[in-house]
Amino acid sequence: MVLSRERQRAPEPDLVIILAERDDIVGRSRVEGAPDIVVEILSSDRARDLVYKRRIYAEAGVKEYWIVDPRYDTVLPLALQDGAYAERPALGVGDTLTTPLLPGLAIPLADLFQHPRRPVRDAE
Amino acid sequence: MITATAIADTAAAPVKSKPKSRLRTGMRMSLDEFIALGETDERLELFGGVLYLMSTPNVDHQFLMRRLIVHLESYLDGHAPPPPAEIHHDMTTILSLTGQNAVEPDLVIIVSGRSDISSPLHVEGVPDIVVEILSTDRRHDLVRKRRIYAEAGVPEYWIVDPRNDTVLPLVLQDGAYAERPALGAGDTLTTPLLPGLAIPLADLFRHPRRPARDAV
Repeated sequence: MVLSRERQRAPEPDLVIILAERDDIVGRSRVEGAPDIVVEILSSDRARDLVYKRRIYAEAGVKEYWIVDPRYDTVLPLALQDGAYAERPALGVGDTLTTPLLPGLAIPLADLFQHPRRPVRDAE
Repeated sequence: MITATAIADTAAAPVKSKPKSRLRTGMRMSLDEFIALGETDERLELFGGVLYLMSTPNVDHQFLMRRLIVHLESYLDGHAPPPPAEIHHDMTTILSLTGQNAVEPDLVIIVSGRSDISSPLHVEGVPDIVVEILSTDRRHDLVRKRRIYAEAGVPEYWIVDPRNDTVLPLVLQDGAYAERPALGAGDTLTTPLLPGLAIPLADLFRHPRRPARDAV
Protein backbone atom coordinates (compact mmCIF):
# COMPACT_ATOMS: atom_id res chain seq x y z
CA MET A 1 0.00 0.00 0.00
CA VAL A 2 1.63 3.21 -1.15
CA LEU A 3 0.46 5.92 1.25
CA SER A 4 2.81 8.65 0.16
CA ARG A 5 5.38 8.57 -2.62
CA GLU A 6 6.92 11.87 -1.55
CA ARG A 7 7.48 10.59 1.96
CA GLN A 8 8.40 7.06 0.85
CA ARG A 9 5.75 5.46 2.95
CA ALA A 10 4.44 2.05 1.95
CA PRO A 11 3.26 -0.02 4.88
CA GLU A 12 1.51 -3.39 4.50
CA PRO A 13 -1.39 -3.33 6.97
CA ASP A 14 -3.10 -6.49 8.17
CA LEU A 15 -6.34 -5.35 6.55
CA VAL A 16 -7.45 -2.37 4.52
CA ILE A 17 -11.04 -1.48 3.75
CA ILE A 18 -11.82 0.74 0.80
CA LEU A 19 -15.36 1.95 0.19
CA ALA A 20 -16.85 1.10 -3.20
CA GLU A 21 -16.79 4.65 -4.55
CA ARG A 22 -13.03 4.85 -4.02
CA ASP A 23 -12.02 1.47 -5.43
CA ASP A 24 -9.99 3.19 -8.15
CA ILE A 25 -7.11 3.33 -5.65
CA VAL A 26 -6.81 -0.48 -5.78
CA GLY A 27 -4.34 -1.78 -8.32
CA ARG A 28 -3.46 -5.34 -9.24
CA SER A 29 -0.97 -5.79 -6.47
CA ARG A 30 -1.08 -2.63 -4.40
CA VAL A 31 -3.22 0.16 -3.06
CA GLU A 32 -2.21 3.69 -4.11
CA GLY A 33 -3.66 6.15 -1.67
CA ALA A 34 -5.28 6.25 1.73
CA PRO A 35 -7.82 3.49 2.47
CA ASP A 36 -10.96 4.39 4.42
CA ILE A 37 -10.17 1.97 7.24
CA VAL A 38 -6.90 0.33 8.21
CA VAL A 39 -6.76 -2.55 10.67
CA GLU A 40 -3.61 -3.66 12.45
CA ILE A 41 -3.31 -6.57 14.85
CA LEU A 42 -0.54 -5.86 17.33
CA SER A 43 2.40 -8.24 17.34
CA SER A 44 5.78 -8.26 19.03
CA ASP A 45 6.77 -4.76 17.89
CA ARG A 46 3.80 -2.99 19.46
CA ALA A 47 5.25 0.51 19.24
CA ARG A 48 5.40 0.26 15.45
CA ASP A 49 1.58 0.10 15.19
CA LEU A 50 0.71 2.10 18.32
CA VAL A 51 2.97 5.07 17.69
CA TYR A 52 4.64 5.19 14.28
CA LYS A 53 1.78 3.87 12.15
CA ARG A 54 -0.79 5.82 14.13
CA ARG A 55 1.04 8.97 13.09
CA ILE A 56 1.50 8.07 9.41
CA TYR A 57 -2.12 6.90 9.00
CA ALA A 58 -3.34 10.16 10.51
CA GLU A 59 -1.07 12.19 8.23
CA ALA A 60 -2.26 10.24 5.19
CA GLY A 61 -5.92 10.90 6.08
CA VAL A 62 -7.01 7.32 6.85
CA LYS A 63 -10.49 7.91 8.30
CA GLU A 64 -10.49 5.04 10.76
CA TYR A 65 -7.66 3.05 12.28
CA TRP A 66 -8.63 -0.04 14.24
CA ILE A 67 -5.99 -1.45 16.53
CA VAL A 68 -6.62 -5.03 17.62
CA ASP A 69 -4.70 -5.96 20.76
CA PRO A 70 -4.40 -9.73 21.25
CA ARG A 71 -2.59 -9.27 24.56
CA TYR A 72 -5.43 -7.42 26.28
CA ASP A 73 -8.29 -8.61 24.05
CA THR A 74 -9.34 -5.14 23.02
CA VAL A 75 -10.00 -3.18 19.83
CA LEU A 76 -9.23 0.53 19.76
CA PRO A 77 -11.33 2.09 16.97
CA LEU A 78 -9.68 5.42 16.24
CA ALA A 79 -11.52 7.97 14.10
CA LEU A 80 -9.85 10.92 12.41
CA GLN A 81 -10.96 14.32 13.67
CA ASP A 82 -9.25 17.49 12.48
CA GLY A 83 -6.23 15.59 11.23
CA ALA A 84 -5.61 13.49 14.35
CA TYR A 85 -7.04 10.39 15.95
CA ALA A 86 -9.21 11.40 18.89
CA GLU A 87 -8.74 9.33 22.03
CA ARG A 88 -11.56 6.86 22.50
CA PRO A 89 -12.14 4.06 24.96
CA ALA A 90 -11.03 0.65 23.77
CA LEU A 91 -13.71 -1.98 23.15
CA GLY A 92 -13.57 -5.24 25.08
CA VAL A 93 -14.84 -8.78 24.56
CA GLY A 94 -18.37 -7.83 25.58
CA ASP A 95 -18.56 -5.06 22.98
CA THR A 96 -19.54 -4.96 19.33
CA LEU A 97 -17.45 -3.17 16.72
CA THR A 98 -19.37 -0.93 14.33
CA THR A 99 -18.51 1.96 12.04
CA PRO A 100 -20.60 4.66 10.34
CA LEU A 101 -18.57 3.94 7.18
CA LEU A 102 -20.14 0.47 6.81
CA PRO A 103 -23.73 0.77 8.03
CA GLY A 104 -25.06 -2.52 9.34
CA LEU A 105 -21.68 -4.10 10.01
CA ALA A 106 -21.53 -5.38 13.58
CA ILE A 107 -18.65 -7.54 14.77
CA PRO A 108 -19.20 -9.00 18.24
CA LEU A 109 -15.70 -9.05 19.68
CA ALA A 110 -16.44 -12.20 21.69
CA ASP A 111 -16.40 -13.98 18.32
CA LEU A 112 -12.73 -12.99 18.01
CA PHE A 113 -11.37 -13.04 21.52
CA GLN A 114 -13.51 -15.76 23.09
CA HIS A 115 -13.93 -17.99 20.06
CA PRO A 116 -13.74 -21.65 21.11
CA ARG A 117 -11.19 -22.34 18.38
CA ARG A 118 -8.89 -19.43 19.23
CA PRO A 119 -5.33 -20.80 19.48
CA VAL A 120 -3.56 -20.97 22.80
CA ARG A 121 -2.15 -17.55 23.63
CA ASP A 122 1.42 -16.62 22.89
CA ALA A 123 3.39 -16.84 26.13
CA GLU A 124 5.25 -13.52 26.00
CA MET B 1 4.76 -16.76 11.75
CA ILE B 2 6.79 -14.79 9.30
CA THR B 3 4.81 -11.81 8.13
CA ALA B 4 5.43 -9.67 5.13
CA THR B 5 5.87 -6.08 4.15
CA ALA B 6 7.09 -6.79 0.70
CA ILE B 7 5.83 -3.60 -0.93
CA ALA B 8 7.96 -1.70 1.50
CA ASP B 9 11.03 -3.37 0.04
CA THR B 10 10.79 -1.38 -3.14
CA ALA B 11 8.95 1.77 -2.26
CA ALA B 12 9.24 2.50 1.39
CA ALA B 13 11.49 3.99 3.95
CA PRO B 14 11.97 1.39 6.64
CA VAL B 15 10.93 2.27 10.13
CA LYS B 16 13.91 3.22 12.26
CA SER B 17 13.60 0.21 14.52
CA LYS B 18 13.54 -2.13 11.53
CA PRO B 19 16.60 -1.69 9.35
CA LYS B 20 16.24 -2.74 5.75
CA SER B 21 16.75 -6.45 5.48
CA ARG B 22 19.80 -7.95 3.86
CA LEU B 23 18.00 -11.18 3.13
CA ARG B 24 17.86 -12.16 -0.50
CA THR B 25 16.97 -15.08 -2.68
CA GLY B 26 19.88 -17.46 -3.18
CA MET B 27 21.56 -16.85 0.19
CA ARG B 28 22.75 -20.01 1.89
CA MET B 29 21.46 -20.59 5.38
CA SER B 30 21.01 -23.54 7.74
CA LEU B 31 17.60 -24.46 9.10
CA ASP B 32 18.72 -23.31 12.57
CA GLU B 33 19.75 -19.91 11.21
CA PHE B 34 16.45 -19.69 9.35
CA ILE B 35 14.43 -20.43 12.50
CA ALA B 36 16.52 -17.93 14.45
CA LEU B 37 15.36 -15.14 12.11
CA GLY B 38 12.04 -15.23 13.98
CA GLU B 39 9.42 -12.77 12.79
CA THR B 40 10.61 -10.91 9.72
CA ASP B 41 8.98 -8.52 7.29
CA GLU B 42 9.54 -10.85 4.36
CA ARG B 43 7.85 -14.01 3.22
CA LEU B 44 10.68 -16.50 3.32
CA GLU B 45 11.20 -20.13 2.47
CA LEU B 46 14.25 -22.36 2.66
CA PHE B 47 14.96 -25.07 0.09
CA GLY B 48 17.92 -27.33 0.65
CA GLY B 49 19.60 -24.60 2.68
CA VAL B 50 18.97 -21.88 0.08
CA LEU B 51 16.79 -18.90 0.97
CA TYR B 52 13.87 -17.92 -1.25
CA LEU B 53 12.00 -14.59 -0.93
CA MET B 54 8.43 -14.72 -2.16
CA SER B 55 6.48 -11.91 -3.74
CA THR B 56 3.47 -10.26 -2.13
CA PRO B 57 0.29 -11.93 -3.36
CA ASN B 58 -1.87 -9.84 -5.68
CA VAL B 59 -5.50 -8.94 -4.99
CA ASP B 60 -6.95 -11.94 -6.83
CA HIS B 61 -4.68 -14.32 -4.91
CA GLN B 62 -5.82 -12.74 -1.67
CA PHE B 63 -9.46 -12.92 -2.69
CA LEU B 64 -9.28 -16.65 -3.50
CA MET B 65 -7.48 -17.24 -0.22
CA ARG B 66 -10.20 -15.44 1.72
CA ARG B 67 -12.94 -17.46 0.00
CA LEU B 68 -11.18 -20.70 0.93
CA ILE B 69 -10.81 -19.52 4.53
CA VAL B 70 -14.49 -18.50 4.68
CA HIS B 71 -15.52 -22.02 3.63
CA LEU B 72 -13.08 -23.75 5.96
CA GLU B 73 -13.95 -21.53 8.93
CA SER B 74 -17.66 -22.03 8.44
CA TYR B 75 -17.10 -25.79 8.16
CA LEU B 76 -15.21 -25.73 11.46
CA ASP B 77 -17.80 -23.48 13.12
CA GLY B 78 -20.43 -26.05 12.20
CA HIS B 79 -18.82 -28.67 14.43
CA ALA B 80 -19.18 -28.94 18.19
CA PRO B 81 -15.84 -28.89 20.03
CA PRO B 82 -13.35 -30.39 19.68
CA PRO B 83 -12.89 -29.01 16.16
CA PRO B 84 -12.17 -31.58 13.44
CA ALA B 85 -9.14 -29.64 12.19
CA GLU B 86 -7.13 -26.47 12.53
CA ILE B 87 -6.11 -24.20 9.69
CA HIS B 88 -3.23 -21.76 9.38
CA HIS B 89 -2.34 -19.32 6.67
CA ASP B 90 1.06 -17.87 5.80
CA MET B 91 2.61 -19.89 8.59
CA THR B 92 6.21 -21.02 8.47
CA THR B 93 6.10 -24.80 8.22
CA ILE B 94 9.13 -26.89 9.03
CA LEU B 95 8.43 -30.21 7.42
CA SER B 96 11.46 -31.92 8.91
CA LEU B 97 14.05 -30.81 11.44
CA THR B 98 16.67 -32.95 9.76
CA GLY B 99 16.14 -31.51 6.30
CA GLN B 100 16.97 -27.99 5.23
CA ASN B 101 13.49 -27.07 4.03
CA ALA B 102 11.02 -24.61 5.54
CA VAL B 103 8.01 -23.48 3.57
CA GLU B 104 5.29 -20.90 4.02
CA PRO B 105 2.23 -22.37 2.32
CA ASP B 106 -0.84 -20.27 1.62
CA LEU B 107 -2.88 -22.62 3.82
CA VAL B 108 -2.13 -25.67 5.91
CA ILE B 109 -4.80 -27.91 7.39
CA ILE B 110 -4.02 -30.14 10.35
CA VAL B 111 -6.60 -32.76 11.17
CA SER B 112 -7.58 -32.95 14.78
CA GLY B 113 -5.55 -35.04 17.15
CA ARG B 114 -2.33 -33.76 15.64
CA SER B 115 -2.44 -30.17 16.88
CA ASP B 116 0.81 -30.77 18.78
CA ILE B 117 2.68 -29.98 15.58
CA SER B 118 1.65 -26.32 15.65
CA SER B 119 3.02 -23.64 17.95
CA PRO B 120 2.25 -19.90 18.04
CA LEU B 121 5.07 -19.18 15.61
CA HIS B 122 5.26 -22.13 13.26
CA VAL B 123 4.15 -25.59 12.28
CA GLU B 124 6.75 -28.24 12.95
CA GLY B 125 5.76 -31.44 11.22
CA VAL B 126 3.77 -32.61 8.25
CA PRO B 127 0.31 -31.06 7.76
CA ASP B 128 -2.50 -33.21 6.38
CA ILE B 129 -3.37 -30.82 3.59
CA VAL B 130 -1.34 -28.03 2.03
CA VAL B 131 -2.99 -25.48 -0.25
CA GLU B 132 -1.04 -23.25 -2.63
CA ILE B 133 -2.52 -20.60 -4.89
CA LEU B 134 -0.34 -20.15 -7.96
CA SER B 135 1.19 -16.74 -8.54
CA THR B 136 3.79 -15.39 -10.92
CA ASP B 137 6.41 -18.05 -10.22
CA ARG B 138 4.18 -21.00 -11.10
CA ARG B 139 7.01 -23.52 -11.32
CA HIS B 140 7.77 -22.90 -7.67
CA ASP B 141 4.50 -24.51 -6.59
CA LEU B 142 3.95 -26.84 -9.54
CA VAL B 143 7.37 -28.48 -9.53
CA ARG B 144 9.58 -27.66 -6.55
CA LYS B 145 6.97 -27.71 -3.83
CA ARG B 146 5.12 -30.66 -5.33
CA ARG B 147 8.31 -32.67 -4.93
CA ILE B 148 9.01 -31.39 -1.42
CA TYR B 149 5.47 -32.05 -0.17
CA ALA B 150 5.52 -35.57 -1.64
CA GLU B 151 8.88 -36.33 -0.05
CA ALA B 152 7.66 -35.02 3.30
CA GLY B 153 4.54 -37.19 3.08
CA VAL B 154 1.85 -34.48 2.94
CA PRO B 155 -1.28 -36.59 2.24
CA GLU B 156 -3.06 -33.96 0.10
CA TYR B 157 -1.74 -31.01 -1.89
CA TRP B 158 -4.33 -28.71 -3.45
CA ILE B 159 -3.07 -26.42 -6.19
CA VAL B 160 -5.38 -23.49 -6.95
CA ASP B 161 -4.77 -21.99 -10.40
CA PRO B 162 -6.21 -18.48 -10.78
CA ARG B 163 -5.12 -18.29 -14.42
CA ASN B 164 -7.14 -21.32 -15.53
CA ASP B 165 -9.73 -21.28 -12.72
CA THR B 166 -8.97 -24.81 -11.62
CA VAL B 167 -8.06 -26.69 -8.47
CA LEU B 168 -5.81 -29.74 -8.75
CA PRO B 169 -6.38 -31.87 -5.63
CA LEU B 170 -3.36 -34.17 -5.49
CA VAL B 171 -3.44 -37.21 -3.23
CA LEU B 172 -0.31 -39.03 -2.08
CA GLN B 173 -0.13 -42.65 -3.20
CA ASP B 174 2.98 -44.75 -2.64
CA GLY B 175 5.10 -41.66 -1.98
CA ALA B 176 4.08 -39.67 -5.03
CA TYR B 177 1.13 -37.53 -6.07
CA ALA B 178 -1.02 -39.48 -8.47
CA GLU B 179 -2.18 -37.53 -11.50
CA ARG B 180 -5.83 -36.56 -11.23
CA PRO B 181 -8.05 -34.40 -13.38
CA ALA B 182 -8.23 -30.79 -12.25
CA LEU B 183 -11.54 -29.49 -10.95
CA GLY B 184 -13.15 -26.55 -12.73
CA ALA B 185 -15.52 -23.75 -11.78
CA GLY B 186 -18.51 -26.10 -12.05
CA ASP B 187 -17.04 -28.68 -9.67
CA THR B 188 -17.10 -29.06 -5.91
CA LEU B 189 -13.97 -29.67 -3.86
CA THR B 190 -14.21 -32.37 -1.19
CA THR B 191 -11.75 -34.52 0.74
CA PRO B 192 -12.12 -37.71 2.79
CA LEU B 193 -9.95 -36.02 5.44
CA LEU B 194 -12.71 -33.51 6.27
CA PRO B 195 -16.03 -35.34 5.91
CA GLY B 196 -18.85 -32.99 5.03
CA LEU B 197 -16.66 -30.24 3.63
CA ALA B 198 -17.82 -29.21 0.17
CA ILE B 199 -16.48 -26.10 -1.52
CA PRO B 200 -18.30 -25.20 -4.74
CA LEU B 201 -15.54 -23.75 -6.87
CA ALA B 202 -17.93 -21.32 -8.54
CA ASP B 203 -17.92 -19.55 -5.19
CA LEU B 204 -14.20 -18.89 -5.71
CA PHE B 205 -13.79 -18.44 -9.43
CA ARG B 206 -17.15 -16.92 -10.40
CA HIS B 207 -17.81 -14.92 -7.27
CA PRO B 208 -19.38 -11.53 -8.09
CA ARG B 209 -16.81 -9.73 -5.95
CA ARG B 210 -13.78 -11.42 -7.51
CA PRO B 211 -11.29 -8.74 -8.57
CA ALA B 212 -10.58 -8.11 -12.24
CA ARG B 213 -8.31 -10.79 -13.57
CA ASP B 214 -4.59 -10.68 -13.62
CA ALA B 215 -3.49 -9.77 -17.14
CA VAL B 216 -0.64 -12.27 -17.35
